[in-house]
Amino acid sequence: MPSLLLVEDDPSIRMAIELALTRQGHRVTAAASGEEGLELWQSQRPELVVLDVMLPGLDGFEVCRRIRRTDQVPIILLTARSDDIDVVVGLESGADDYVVKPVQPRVLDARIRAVLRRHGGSVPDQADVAVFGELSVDRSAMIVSRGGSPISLTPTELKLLVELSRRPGQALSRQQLLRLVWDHDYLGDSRLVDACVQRLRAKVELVPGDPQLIRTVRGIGYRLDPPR
Amino acid sequence: MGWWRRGLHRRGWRLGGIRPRLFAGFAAVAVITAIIITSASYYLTRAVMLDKAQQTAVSNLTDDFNAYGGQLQAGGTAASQEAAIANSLHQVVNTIAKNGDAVVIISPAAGTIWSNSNLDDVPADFKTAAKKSMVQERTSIGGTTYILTGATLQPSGVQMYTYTDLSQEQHVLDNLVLIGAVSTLLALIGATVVAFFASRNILLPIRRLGMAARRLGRGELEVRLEVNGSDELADVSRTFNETARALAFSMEELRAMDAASRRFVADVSHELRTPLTAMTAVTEVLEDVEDADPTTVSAAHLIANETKRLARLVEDLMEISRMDAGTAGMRVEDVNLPELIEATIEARGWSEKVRVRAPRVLPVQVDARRVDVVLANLCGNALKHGGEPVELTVRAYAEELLIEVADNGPGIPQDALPHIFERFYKADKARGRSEGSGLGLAIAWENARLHNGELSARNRPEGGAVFTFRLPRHPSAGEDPDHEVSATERLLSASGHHDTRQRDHWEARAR
Repeated sequence: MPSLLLVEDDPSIRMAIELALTRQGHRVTAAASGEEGLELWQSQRPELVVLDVMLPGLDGFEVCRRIRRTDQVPIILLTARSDDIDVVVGLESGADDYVVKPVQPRVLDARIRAVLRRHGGSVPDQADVAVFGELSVDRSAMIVSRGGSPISLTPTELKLLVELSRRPGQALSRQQLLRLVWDHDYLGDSRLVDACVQRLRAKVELVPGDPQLIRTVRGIGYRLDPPR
Repeated sequence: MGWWRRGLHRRGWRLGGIRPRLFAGFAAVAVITAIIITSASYYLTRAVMLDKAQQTAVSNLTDDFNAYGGQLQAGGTAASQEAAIANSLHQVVNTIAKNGDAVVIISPAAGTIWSNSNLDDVPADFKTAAKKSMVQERTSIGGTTYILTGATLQPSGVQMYTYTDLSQEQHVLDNLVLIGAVSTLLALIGATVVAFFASRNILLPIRRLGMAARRLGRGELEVRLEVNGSDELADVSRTFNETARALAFSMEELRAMDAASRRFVADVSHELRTPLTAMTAVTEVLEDVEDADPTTVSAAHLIANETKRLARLVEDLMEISRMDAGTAGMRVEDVNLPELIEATIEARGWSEKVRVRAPRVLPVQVDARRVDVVLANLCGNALKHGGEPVELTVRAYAEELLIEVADNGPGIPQDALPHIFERFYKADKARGRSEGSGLGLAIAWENARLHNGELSARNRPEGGAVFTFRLPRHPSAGEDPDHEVSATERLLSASGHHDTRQRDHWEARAR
């Protein structure tokens, strides 16, 4: 039974979502503010955090940033609207996915399970390591290292890198990546991919501003290249 | 052919315009005045000159009678001294002729005529009249006008006539006419010049007024005219300025009211969302209620359904508020349109109900989510009102794409056609409430507009309604900071397409 942390200030919404997620088979701990959320995150170590953006005091973005400083726990944002700056800021602060209020419990549950699947990973049966210059992606142990020292990636970042590494030199469209990594349908939000690529580059590229591994293919998406 | 017409039109040379009318008026005044003055002086001069010539002729004839009367009398009576008399009369004729007139002397006794020119006879009725007294008449011979003066010397009955040539006078009068004509021409030129400046003084302000009015009509409410002087045109300019100011003020007020009401709708929808989020989260609990008494089950299901409807309505209201406020963001990306269409239809379980006719590969740059909304709306609408089978056809042209959604239903009532994209408009009033929010087509229309495209609806002659989504093909949308070229080929080979024409197209776009 996955344990979740729900951070939501509105008592009715908190209660309703807690109820709905519990019905879907999750173990839910609820917090009413960002501060309380951070405390519970530290004491309970949940497997996933569902985080409202508009919180009094510490807002969702800030909570997200603070968690990300030390932890790669999956985070799903609850946002008020889909097409404003909220989402971009949220994704840049390290969230893995987002849902828009009012959310259908079924949809939220599907997203939660998709994120958790990334975390779970596949069963390692044999060594499966891809090497791109100094970067090595161990797809069986789910370990990424540069020059021998491991790099800490969120499950989403790791999944993205793994999917790219399975098709070296081949451009993958944002929609393809959304399906492969996020389990989204065709009309997923491509900003998820862009934000995740930015974060991934910051961690694996030597010079994130001049990426040599994860290249942008204009008008299509991204591809992973062995360095020249 | 068109350019000069336009040029003429610009400069105000249209027939019936102020400028031609001014020119015609000024010219008419100038010409009429010149003609009146010329003809008046012509007739006056003519009368005076004629009178003078006649008097001169009479006095000349009288003088001649006095001077040569004796000789003439003698010539008239003594037939015996024929030769001498003839000689003397001949002398008289020559003498008299020296003052320039043509002279005719007729001696009835001798039955002879003396003359100094080829004018050697006089009309018979004039002779009769001249027997009684001295008479005069004007006559024209061979194109020349003469004053014919005549008298009879009693008792001898010798008749003497003079033809006074008037060609000198005629010449003077001819000159007068010429001068008149020249003056008329000069007056005409003068009038044209005056008319030009007069019309310019009138037309320039009128043209400025016209231009300002056009700009005002285009929505430039800050346009004002410079007021010069205190004539009627200045009054009009002042009135124009006041009107423009009043209009700007009213528009400002209207805009403020409009913005306030739109903001109100946005705020209300936003406020509704918090309780709706809580309610939506627990609708499934209500939907799963099965083991209570039937009334409770019905009530629970009703609340669950209506909550979903309300959530949809609030979502649509917020979406249209964003569109009204201009904050609806576009996320343009490269999409293969047929794939998008397929996804739209599949996601809603319409694969069996909607027949799609489209090329296999059709790259477009659109906001996929918005195009999905448009397509879902059109297809959903067609399925609801028209029934199956719904046909979705994509036609690709160089400049634009036409996506047509046709159904085989009863079509749209003629009086509903112009309103079909209005908010909360219901073509079928009897139905009262529909499943949708009543904003679906309005939102679809706005989404089409955000793509610089448009939605239109019509009825097919063979029955059923057709909605057409016209989508312009954009040039490249955004620039990726670190892009490389080989993109297109990779994607095409990855998706297994080797259509050369398509590839050329893609590569052209990639550059």
